[in-house]
Amino acid sequence: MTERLAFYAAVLILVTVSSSPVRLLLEQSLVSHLLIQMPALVLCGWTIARRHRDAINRGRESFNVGGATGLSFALIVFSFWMLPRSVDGSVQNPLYEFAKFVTLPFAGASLALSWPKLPPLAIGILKCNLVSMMLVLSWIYTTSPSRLCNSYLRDEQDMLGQIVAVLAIGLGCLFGGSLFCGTTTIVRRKSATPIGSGGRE
Amino acid sequence: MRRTLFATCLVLAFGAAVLWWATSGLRAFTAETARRIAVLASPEPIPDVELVDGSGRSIRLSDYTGQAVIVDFIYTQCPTICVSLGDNFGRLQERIKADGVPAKLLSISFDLAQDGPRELSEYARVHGADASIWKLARPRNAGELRLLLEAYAVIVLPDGIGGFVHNAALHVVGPDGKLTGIYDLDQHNAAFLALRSFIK
Amino acid sequence: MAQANAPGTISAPSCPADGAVKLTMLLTVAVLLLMMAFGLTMRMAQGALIQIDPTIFYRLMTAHGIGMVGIAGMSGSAIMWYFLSRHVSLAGWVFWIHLGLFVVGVVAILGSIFIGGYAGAWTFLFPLPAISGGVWDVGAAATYLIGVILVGVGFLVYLVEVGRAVIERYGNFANALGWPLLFSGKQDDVPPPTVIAAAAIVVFNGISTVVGAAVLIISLINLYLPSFTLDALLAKNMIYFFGHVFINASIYMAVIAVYEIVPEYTQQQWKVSRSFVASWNAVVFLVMAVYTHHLFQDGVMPAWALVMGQIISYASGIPLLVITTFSLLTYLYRSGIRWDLASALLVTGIFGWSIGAVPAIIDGMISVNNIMHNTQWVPGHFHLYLLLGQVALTLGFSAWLTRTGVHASLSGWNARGFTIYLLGGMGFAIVFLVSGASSIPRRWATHLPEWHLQDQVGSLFALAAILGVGIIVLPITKRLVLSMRG
Repeated sequence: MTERLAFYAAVLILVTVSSSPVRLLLEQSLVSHLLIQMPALVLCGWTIARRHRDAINRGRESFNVGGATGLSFALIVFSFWMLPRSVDGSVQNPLYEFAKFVTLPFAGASLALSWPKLPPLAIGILKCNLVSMMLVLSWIYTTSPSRLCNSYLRDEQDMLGQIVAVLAIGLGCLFGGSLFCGTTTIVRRKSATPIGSGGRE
Repeated sequence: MRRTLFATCLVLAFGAAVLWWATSGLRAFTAETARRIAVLASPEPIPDVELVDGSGRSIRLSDYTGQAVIVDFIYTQCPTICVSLGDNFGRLQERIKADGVPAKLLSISFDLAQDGPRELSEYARVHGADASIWKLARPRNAGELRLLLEAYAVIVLPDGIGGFVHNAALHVVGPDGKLTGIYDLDQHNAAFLALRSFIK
Repeated sequence: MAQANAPGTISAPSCPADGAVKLTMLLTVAVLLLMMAFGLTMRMAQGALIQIDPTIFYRLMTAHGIGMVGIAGMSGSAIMWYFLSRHVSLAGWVFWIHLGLFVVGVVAILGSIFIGGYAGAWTFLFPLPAISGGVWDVGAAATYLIGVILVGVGFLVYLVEVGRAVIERYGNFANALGWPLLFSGKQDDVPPPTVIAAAAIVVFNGISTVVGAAVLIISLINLYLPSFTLDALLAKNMIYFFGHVFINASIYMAVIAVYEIVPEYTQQQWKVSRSFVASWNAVVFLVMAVYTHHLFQDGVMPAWALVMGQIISYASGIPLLVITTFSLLTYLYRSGIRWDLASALLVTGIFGWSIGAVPAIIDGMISVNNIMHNTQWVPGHFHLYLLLGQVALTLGFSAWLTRTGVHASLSGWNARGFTIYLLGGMGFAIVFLVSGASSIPRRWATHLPEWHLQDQVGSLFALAAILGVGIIVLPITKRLVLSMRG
């Protein structure tokens, strides 16, 4: 039920975010462009794909064992849109803009299909790396001697850097805190088989 | 397992290629750097837009044919970066004189609303512009300004307090009227060497 | 209490990646001896016994620092892995990856130092790697940083696997850290000491690795884009936070050997009391704040941070030190323990750790620190607690790992080696402390003639320590090699 609700909400948000006025509004500032529009696109893709996960996966499981393929795709897309050059491109060049509205939801969808399959080890490393890299990004935004995006003001870049730093620390606390209140299945007996591939959520 | 390995390698290889392309071979992470690399590799023609200088005379890029020009974009009320640009142009002017290079300087204002002939002349006076080398001018209308800004890939944003934010640089236009190099403000030495390179 | 902890079941130990653990101990022995030789060379150069170029001195100093810290961390992680696998399911291949990344990282680091000439000290303190004054080029500094990053990534993978396995078995870290026992006095599934220690280490060493990775990448970017600068004070905070937690973790991981091996000798399980749990939980938070005693001389640090640093430097290790030392004494008292090389080294390790903390606590006083921190007092402190603490625990573990069935008594070459190592190590560290107290600066390649005598005495003790360790590890190495072949 909630999943269905979330699905329709995601479709609605995707349409809204893509509509011209909202699109231009969010792209007016670097902060809302990177921290609202782009994550919204990813989240919508994730939510929409999650509802049809089983249908999409059927028959294709062997191409995405352990979520490796889907994760790689998503990471590549995220890397691309993290480049200041691509951000500028999406504001200046309609082709980039179109690519952004297609690839980011697909990256979200591919993450939704792959995340539950990822081994817990990979999830842990990804989370640690995310926090680390957000700290580095925040540093880049705030200390760059020049504007990284020609389309945006310096103040916005500074503000983005500060917000990303806060988000990094917040995420770090969240990830750390979740270690303390998880209630995952407890394996009482030490099993002889090594764990690693095919771990469940 | 084998299918996944294959698919993952395919995605990663394709992704690496895309990222390689998107960063001009890991050299450009910002649009500004990418533009500079592209211009260096293949000079771009600049539209021959008519400009008006402080005394109302018309100036065109084609007037400079056969000579190299360094172009910068300014607005005269600018309290920060354009002052620095002016200083660097002043220094370049001295070197051009001393060296006797057949090269010129051209400052173009993009602030059509505020920069009239008087403001341009004042800026020239403050920075000691020698009209035989360094001219100041503005486009005649907004449409032609846009054409120019697009050609030089200069993006001008209002800064919210009455001024502008713009990517300031030294644009070197060769004797053939093509944009051949873009340099940082403080790279006036590199820009000067680029001017010299046009003399055989 | 986990079954595996009971005496008797220990006799057939095997852990996932058993071979990798043994390989790590072999590597530890080799790197340890090499780095000790570097140390001796530096002391002899300071004592004017030999002549080396200062640039070589600083390369040796950099290599000695990163080599010792790295191998301490690596051997500690092997000890923790070995014993933790008795209580939770660890995937063996993860340790192989950890070891592989470590080796690749070490190769990069050694190359950067001895081929590239990087000599900016192991702490790579910003912006030193970038401004060598022509002694080394950017590539060397970058290779060094990349080497450290690789080692760090290995540790991250290792820590995440440990965390994963602990959660799989105990549900969450609150249980694994014994919070139910701590707060309500009872817990139906009390984790053994090893699990509590491992959980604590994952928390603080995980955080330090994340911060370390960030500052390493930042330093790397700064090398190539010097206009991207970092606030030097923030960089120092991040680096010392990372480095200090990392080296402390190497001891905390090695202490697990005592929890697991000593009960074999005393026939008494290491009891998980409420105070034991409390002290490990205190360590989780305190260990992350101790590094501030490296910043007392930075007048620009906010006063509150320095005051906090002083208080925490006092409080940090003490609860756990006292609890562990005190428990160890009660277990040993009238236990009729058979002294052999392993038990003697393990007990030495705990006392080396305790005694080694004392000079640090003194240095943790701001008024003392301002005079002493740049003297040899500080190397005195960390050599005491690393050479007689971490190294003793590691050697003790290796001796136990390669034991030959019956617990032999401490005699013959074992006893001689042990005594020489103990006296050499003790003397070596004490000379540093005495030199520090008489204001001889640390990190100086060339010493004034008035200091030479102390340096020469220090060299003598260093030689003894190397000799002692050499005698101890010779049979251990042989048995390690044999057991890996078999």
